[in-house]
Amino acid sequence: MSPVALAFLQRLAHLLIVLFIVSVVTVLLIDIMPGDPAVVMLGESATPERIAALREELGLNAPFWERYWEWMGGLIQGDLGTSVVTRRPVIDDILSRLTVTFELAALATLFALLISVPTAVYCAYRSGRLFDRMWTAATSIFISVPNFVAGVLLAFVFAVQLGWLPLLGWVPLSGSITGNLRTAALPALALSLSEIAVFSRVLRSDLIATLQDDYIVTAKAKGLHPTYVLFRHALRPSALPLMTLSGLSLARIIGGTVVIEYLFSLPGLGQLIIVSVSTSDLPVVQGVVITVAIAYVLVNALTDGAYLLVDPRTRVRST
Amino acid sequence: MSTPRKRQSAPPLDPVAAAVAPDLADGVDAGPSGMSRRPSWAVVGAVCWLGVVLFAVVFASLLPLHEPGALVGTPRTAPFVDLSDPLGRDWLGRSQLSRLVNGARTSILVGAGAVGLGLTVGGVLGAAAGYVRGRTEGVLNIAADAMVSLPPLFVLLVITAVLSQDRQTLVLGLGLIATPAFYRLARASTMSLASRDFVMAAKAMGASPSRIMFRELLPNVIIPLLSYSFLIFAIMVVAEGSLSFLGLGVPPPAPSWGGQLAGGRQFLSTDPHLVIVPGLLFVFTVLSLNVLGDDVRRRFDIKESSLQ
Repeated sequence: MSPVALAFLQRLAHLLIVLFIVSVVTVLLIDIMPGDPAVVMLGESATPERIAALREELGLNAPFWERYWEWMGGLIQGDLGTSVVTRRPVIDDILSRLTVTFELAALATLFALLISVPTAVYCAYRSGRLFDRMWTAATSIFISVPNFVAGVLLAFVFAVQLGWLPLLGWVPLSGSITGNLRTAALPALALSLSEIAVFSRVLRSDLIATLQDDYIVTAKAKGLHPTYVLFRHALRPSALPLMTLSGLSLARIIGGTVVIEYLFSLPGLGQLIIVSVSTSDLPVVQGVVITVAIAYVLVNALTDGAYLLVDPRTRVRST
Repeated sequence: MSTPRKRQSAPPLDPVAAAVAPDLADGVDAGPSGMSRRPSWAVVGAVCWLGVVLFAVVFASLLPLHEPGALVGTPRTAPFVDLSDPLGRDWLGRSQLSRLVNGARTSILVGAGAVGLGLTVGGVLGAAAGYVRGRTEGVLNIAADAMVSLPPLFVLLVITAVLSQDRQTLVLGLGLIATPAFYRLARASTMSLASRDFVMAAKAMGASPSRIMFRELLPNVIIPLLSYSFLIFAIMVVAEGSLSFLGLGVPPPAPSWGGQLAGGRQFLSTDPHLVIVPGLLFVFTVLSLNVLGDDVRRRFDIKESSLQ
């Protein structure tokens, strides 16, 4: 078997084990979380007999593994049960909200790339100069601003003071593209702040090392324009770290939008989990937890996989 | 093109490790690294600010402040209008200074507790995994991977729903979040130490595995763990703030920075000071912890790649 295929299989096995553990914990949530789904559905005033009957009907009395296979079977067929509060299929809510969260994460990562790549290139090119020092100091601050603080302050400046962007709410992409971008801009910017800092730092130190390489000296000696050398020659080896960073950032933001979605009233997964935890809507909690875990693991695995394809050195096992 | 740099630049960082602990003060001071290095102004500032916060945490109840829950005057008074409340009053008319000083107790004590818990549990398990290897290590690695595959805030939301909303639960939940990071660091450090001569010597003298682990390895592993503690502390302060901001931290009448920020948010257009003051507290504290943590980490020369 080729080393690439072997490495892929190894990671796949690892991934499946991790997802198995997460799914077991997710199903266990029914047992450990407060709030009996039957009581939530029938209301506090229901008679014990009716609650017992509904528990039986929902399969809550079945042994753990039976419930686990039942739930996993549903998951594979795209059926995560029904919300005990809204009575809607959980999967519908999750899919519509996943697009919002994913759009935010993608937009924030895009912002981070657009801002950090040019600045990092310039910082590396003129390293140690005033702009480099100022930008490095700025990234220290960016990384230290919690995203909810960044969100509130950005909302204050751009929505309250300047009135350029809406303070709250969400216009779906299908409604209006500019309207959607206007509502997504501030949350995505708040989320991208710490990513900008991480991207800038990694790229800057990467580029400083690259710029001392012989092939850069050759390119310069050929009389190529500095901008051309920087963007066409020097940036190329940094594509891999940037790719990894973007993947990590995407995964991190999918899990990190809870507070920003709450702050800007965006109908994403984060808001869904807050609402479902506070109303003891257990099927929804389970659905969101497993969706986020799968998204998180999948994005990380794809990043790894892309690395394997692009960089032959990573195919050799180190241990 | 620019002239070649005099200062030897850092080797290309591993992006994953760098994302976990970005090189925070790189370029802020270009002095030679090492123990004798004079601390930069950024580090001095960070220590001073953390000193102020620590003072507030320790002496909160002795300071001449209003009761944090007492209504002392007109709601939403701006800072410096009434000198008995230099930071103004919150949306209910409570003293903002008193709320924030007492709130520091929540943020700092919960953060410190979580770091202590994560350090102890993660450190011991990591050292065990790195020394014993084999199946123990495999199981623990997978457990750590499973934990980091769930977004921290989701885990915390579920934990606060399962248990209760008090300081102990927060410490437990945040400590759980911090454990995998310490575990990985301890395991990596132990693996590099386990082949060193002093461990061989102890083994040759017939020391028991537990003696080697607790007397030989852990005292050495603790240094990188401690130097990363500040950085993880910063993450914990943010996580606690996020929960309080969502109303899932310590329950409302108790003061917390995140709670003050969340409560003031409704008055963003009329009284921005209600969010700017607690917001700045977060920024200063997290920035100080990051700057100090990075400085400590460099002094002990912990390689970023050792996290892997």
